[in-house]
Amino acid sequence: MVGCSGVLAFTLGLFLGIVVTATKKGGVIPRPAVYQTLDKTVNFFRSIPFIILLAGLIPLTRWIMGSAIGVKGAIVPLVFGTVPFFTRQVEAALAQVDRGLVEAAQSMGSGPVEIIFRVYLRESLPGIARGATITAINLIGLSAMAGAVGAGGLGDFAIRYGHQRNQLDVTYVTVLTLVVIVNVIQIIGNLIAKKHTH
Amino acid sequence: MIVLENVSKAFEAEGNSVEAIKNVSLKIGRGEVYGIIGFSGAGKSTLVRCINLLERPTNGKVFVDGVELTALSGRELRGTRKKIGMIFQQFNLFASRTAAGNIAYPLKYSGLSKKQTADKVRDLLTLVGLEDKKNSYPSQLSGGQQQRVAIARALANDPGILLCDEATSALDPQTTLSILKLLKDLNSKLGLTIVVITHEMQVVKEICDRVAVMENGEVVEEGDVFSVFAAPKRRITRDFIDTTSNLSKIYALLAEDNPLVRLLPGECIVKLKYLEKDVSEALVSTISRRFDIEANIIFGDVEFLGNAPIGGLVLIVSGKGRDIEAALTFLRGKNVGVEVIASGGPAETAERIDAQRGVEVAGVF
Repeated sequence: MVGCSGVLAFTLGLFLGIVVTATKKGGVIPRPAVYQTLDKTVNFFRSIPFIILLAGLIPLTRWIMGSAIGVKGAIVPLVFGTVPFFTRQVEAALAQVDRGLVEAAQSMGSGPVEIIFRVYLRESLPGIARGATITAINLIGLSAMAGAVGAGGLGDFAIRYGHQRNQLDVTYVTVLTLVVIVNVIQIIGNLIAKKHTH
Repeated sequence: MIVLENVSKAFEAEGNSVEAIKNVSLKIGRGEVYGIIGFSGAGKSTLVRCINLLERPTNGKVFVDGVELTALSGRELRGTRKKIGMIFQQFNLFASRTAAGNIAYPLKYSGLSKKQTADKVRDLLTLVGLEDKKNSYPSQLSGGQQQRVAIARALANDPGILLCDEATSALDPQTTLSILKLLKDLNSKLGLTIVVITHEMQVVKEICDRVAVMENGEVVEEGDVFSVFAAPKRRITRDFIDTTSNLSKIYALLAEDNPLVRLLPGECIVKLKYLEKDVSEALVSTISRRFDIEANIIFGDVEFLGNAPIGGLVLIVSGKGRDIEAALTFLRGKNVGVEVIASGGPAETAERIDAQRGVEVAGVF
């Protein structure tokens, strides 16, 4: 559930983050209309609490996945909950790329697409890695709520067995497992960021 | 050859239109080192960006080697830009790439094989004197070394033109000199046309053949470096000369009534400026011998601009009024700019003022 929606959210968020950065005023392909639309849409979805998103997206989820419950039913809302967040993370990372580098690339005859791939993405790789780490951990948090649509998962497990059956040891083990997972993700993220920072 | 024809550039800012460049026309010849000097905000950075169209002029035309850049499509323009190198004040190297990686950046789609690219990068690193820094990242290099890498990168596609936007402004004086020397070498070795944007008079003095002085978006003076700086027509040009000359300190001394410049009757302060390229006579000793006057040098500033002396002297001259007049006429005849800045009055009233001055001097000590 987390893996599948994570990959989807990463791809979509990266793409949208690039589009937002490129179409902004002063970007490499300035398109104010595209930018404004995208910017407002991202803000809209970021302001909706995930539990509402989960319920509100049921028709769309059913249309895309054929079912609005279980793991299948959780992926669409998870993607919708994560993509706007990651889009902003990517946008923030790309904004760190010095305008002078873009100018230098332009002076060497690079076109917009070349600048996006060879300057923006390459130079902001550490920032994107950090953003992806934060987003992945966030995603794990959101997935705990996916139990609400019967998708199971660790969060659901902890509530059902740990809380409702009052098996405290289950809760402890679940939390411990999550601590380990979050740490592993953070360590991997830091490693990638560090490797590409010179 | 670079030709700018009536180039203007206006920026829209919060409803207001600000004209950064006003109707500038320039011709920069092949193989020339051309300086554009101006204080910050004069529009010189915008002007240099109009040459490779990083800034598109609002009006006017830009030609490089006979091609009108302002009429090219996006793709054609990108191809042309490969033949116009550019370096920047902040170097603008890619932090994620090594020195070699930075230099190889513009070679990616040039059709060179891996081996050819590697050879080319090695040659360029040798050219800028950084053979051993191939695998260093920009953060491991000094400012001067970073600018050398930037120069190598700008030259990767063998451009005929190199634009330098305040390329030495972030460097210390010694490094500045070494970078300027490198640029001069590249100019003579490769026949590279170099356009230098700067606010430092020293840069123009060191390497430029011709210079344009910019103020408020306009080119107010233009010509070969010697004639512009030997006989400046505009105040701003004089201001630039004063930034590297100490001759104007005399005005400060006079203003504060420094004892050094309190004149006796029969004395006057004269500022001499070299206007011609062939001032090689011993002028000071000639006038004192021939006209029976004393000449005391209080400021001197003589520099060489492309093998010709430029600058001048500030003298306190004393003697008979008639003799001083004759000496100054002689100097003017030698094409030296002569300006009498202050005078102690005619020698005849000497005694009375002498007594007065005695009191003042006593007061000073």
